[in-house]
Amino acid sequence: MAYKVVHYINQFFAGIGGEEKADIAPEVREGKVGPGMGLGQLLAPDAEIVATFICGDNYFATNSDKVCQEVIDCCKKYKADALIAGPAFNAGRYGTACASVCAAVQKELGIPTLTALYKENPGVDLFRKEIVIVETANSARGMGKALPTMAAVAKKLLSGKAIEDPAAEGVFSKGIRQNMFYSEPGAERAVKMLIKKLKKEPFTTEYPMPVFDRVTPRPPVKDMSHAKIAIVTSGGIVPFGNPDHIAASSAQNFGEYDISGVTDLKKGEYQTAHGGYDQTYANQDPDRVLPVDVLRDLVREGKIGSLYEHYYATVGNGTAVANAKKFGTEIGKKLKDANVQAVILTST
Amino acid sequence: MQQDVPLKRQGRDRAIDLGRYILANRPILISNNPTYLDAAPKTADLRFVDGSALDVLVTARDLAHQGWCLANHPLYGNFRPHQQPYRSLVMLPHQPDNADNALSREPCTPLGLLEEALVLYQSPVRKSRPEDVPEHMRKDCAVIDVELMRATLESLS
Amino acid sequence: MKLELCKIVVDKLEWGPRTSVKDKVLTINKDELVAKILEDPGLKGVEVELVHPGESTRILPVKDAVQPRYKLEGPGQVFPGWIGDVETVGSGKTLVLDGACVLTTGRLVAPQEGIVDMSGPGAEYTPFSKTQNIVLVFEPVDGLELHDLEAVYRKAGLRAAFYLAEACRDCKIDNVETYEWPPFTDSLKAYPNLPKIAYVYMLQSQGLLHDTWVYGVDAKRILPTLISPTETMDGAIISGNCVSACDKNNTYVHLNNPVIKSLFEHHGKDLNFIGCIITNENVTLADKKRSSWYAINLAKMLGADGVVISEEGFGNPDADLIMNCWKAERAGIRTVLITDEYAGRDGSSQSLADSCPEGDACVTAGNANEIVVLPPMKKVIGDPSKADVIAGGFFGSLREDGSMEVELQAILGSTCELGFNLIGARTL
Repeated sequence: MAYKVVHYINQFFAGIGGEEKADIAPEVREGKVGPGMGLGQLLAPDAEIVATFICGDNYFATNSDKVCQEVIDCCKKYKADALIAGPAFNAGRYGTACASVCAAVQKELGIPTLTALYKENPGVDLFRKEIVIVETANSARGMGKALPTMAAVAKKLLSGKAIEDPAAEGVFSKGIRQNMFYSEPGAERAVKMLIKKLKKEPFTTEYPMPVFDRVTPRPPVKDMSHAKIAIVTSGGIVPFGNPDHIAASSAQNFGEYDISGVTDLKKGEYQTAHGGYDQTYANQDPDRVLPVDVLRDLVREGKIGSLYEHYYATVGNGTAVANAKKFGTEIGKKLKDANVQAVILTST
Repeated sequence: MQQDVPLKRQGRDRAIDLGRYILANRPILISNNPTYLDAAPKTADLRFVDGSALDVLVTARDLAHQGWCLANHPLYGNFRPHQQPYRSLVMLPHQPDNADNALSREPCTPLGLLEEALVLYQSPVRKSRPEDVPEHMRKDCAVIDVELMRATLESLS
Repeated sequence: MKLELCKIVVDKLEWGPRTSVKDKVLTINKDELVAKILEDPGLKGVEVELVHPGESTRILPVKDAVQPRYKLEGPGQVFPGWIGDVETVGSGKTLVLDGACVLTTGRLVAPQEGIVDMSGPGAEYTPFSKTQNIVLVFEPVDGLELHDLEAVYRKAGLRAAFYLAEACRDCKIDNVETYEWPPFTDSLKAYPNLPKIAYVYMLQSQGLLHDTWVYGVDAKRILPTLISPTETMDGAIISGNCVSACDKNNTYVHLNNPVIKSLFEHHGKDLNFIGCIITNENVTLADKKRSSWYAINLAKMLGADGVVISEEGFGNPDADLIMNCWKAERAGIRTVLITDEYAGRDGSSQSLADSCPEGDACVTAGNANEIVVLPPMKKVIGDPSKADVIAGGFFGSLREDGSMEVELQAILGSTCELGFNLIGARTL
């Protein structure tokens, strides 16, 4: 009897549509859809895809808990032995959705799950410790390589085995250290490793040194009462209507907004675009995430010199590190050019 | 903190002045170890922190931002945060050329060392305040802490 | 320098009228041993137990482990500065009771562990479940100050180990290992096609319960210096380090340093073992900077192509390890590091308190935070009050059925950073 697998994909890979259909609600179809065709062939005869769960990426971003529960229910209904999601390559919202549903199903039902993402997909860092993630290329051109690896890993997990050598098996390492016994004492291993290193032969370190991304802090502001302070947020506060269409998750851009003369952010004039928290309270009073009102008070009281007339906003929800660096560098340059002395960063 | 003493004397007077300069800007011992309340160190001014090891580290970090230097490694002692609730740090007075060095987050600069220590103390395995340690062990922990700081305090004189 | 280790194999211990070894059985005269131990007025009494591998016995809290050795021929005597006078050791002939080990136990301060299980899952992790152990349970006089108490225990362990080996000085030797350490004029010229390797031997030196002694000198007071590896085989370096149980170097491992052993084994074949540099791990930052520069400069003076660097302890010493590493690498000396890890119970925390990109060759002795479940044992020797073991949850927790969940940190020698054990770790 073949293992039963449920497959999670998005609106694009289901053939429903592109970005314009990203809001579609979940739908379950029996059997294989889209990449499930190829995947299903590779899983046979050990396993088969009995159902495909399709969900729009935007819909997931704003209803993640609900959708995860629906995926769990779907797996229960079809008596799934495993859940496979994606492959999502470098698509941030899709990748985060895939990884989220895998984590939820694994936790709730205890069945093996796996997805497949590109290394820069935010879903990797968010979920690598919890679930198995196959490493893929950065676009669907890598489909031909991704599917066989996914099938092989799925079969292994279904047979009750664990991943022992992530690199060799094509999955991301969880970054978790686990003790093991070697056949030689550490001292002998060390001497042999050094001999190889000196001979310029390849060797594998037993502990890869972590690389720290260190930021040198600036000296403290000497005189706050004369300083020009700016405010920047990753909490997603934007003018009502989100004119720059900053995405609810996996943001691709930031906005620059003029607040000269604005002393208080009001409901209906500003809103949040962030999909990672309950928006009710931020929408009621956006100052809660971007405290313009308090900063104006501080200027009036002479505690700070002035508030810079622009603020910058993006959504820090599953943001790709590369994008975060890019936004930070660009915003930093603008603030520097405007002689801002210090910046307050708010998040959620 | 006392005022800076101007340094403009000749010859052997300079040595006395240097001593006075250092006295005026003495090293500080930041510690939550109550043993020091009864036996204050001779070579540093005690700034007692009535709190946890984390509070001690935060106090030291704030001083590091103002250019103070560390005399000892914050993670001395082969104990983890929940095994040793006392922490003592000796900070050395601000020297003008300390400033850039002090602020860098590279390891082994004061801020670097303190931030690394803070990572550990902010998420201990178990609670690590003095009051969480059984009474009969608290005294032992305090004694060990004093012992491990002895060499650093002596090196200041 | 030439040293012959004359080894007598011991695989059983028993009490008897005359301390001696025959057919691998070490017979011990209990009264003589006890009298020797109690020569120190700081001890009111001592219990001695003989414990063998495989027994359902737990020993804790262990202070030190010492292998019985005695210098048969040659200058000085073992454990110089304590038993022997301070004359340089490391040459001649030294008797070794191979398979025997003195374990000292007794309450100093809490928290302190040092669990040795002679059987069961815990036995896998400590080297001392495989040795025949002469366990000393000390009872000190009242009112001893802590420094004095620690010294009393330390010296008593050395005395006991010395007594046992000395008493066997006329017994039949089973095998001899010979070690030669020529002068630099010869060693630096030998094997011109082989890389010159030195060993940077880091010694714990933070203060009470964290000390190491070299010829009786407190290691926190030394500048890094050279030592002949054969001197270590005669106990020139002894442990005053009681914390943490997992990664403190007991005197036993100083005597049987596995890095030195491996370097000698490879010597003349794929490396030229040219030097052993001891350095310390002080608390004061200025000392750390000074010692790391000084130690690496010694390696440079020797013309080392590569160094093996072993650490002792964690946290503060990680800084010394990393400084030694990058200073060597930037001087053109290749390094391999031996350390242990504190990666948290789930293995996901940062293993070391410090890091440098130059540390690209690193061997680890395992994650000390891994949890092991130790079943109840029929016999417990040492401080019988489990209160210290589990109180405050310092090292683990007691379960209802009497078994204990402890981190490897509490098991004696489990993550020894000399690379004594087979254990290591990988990233999943």
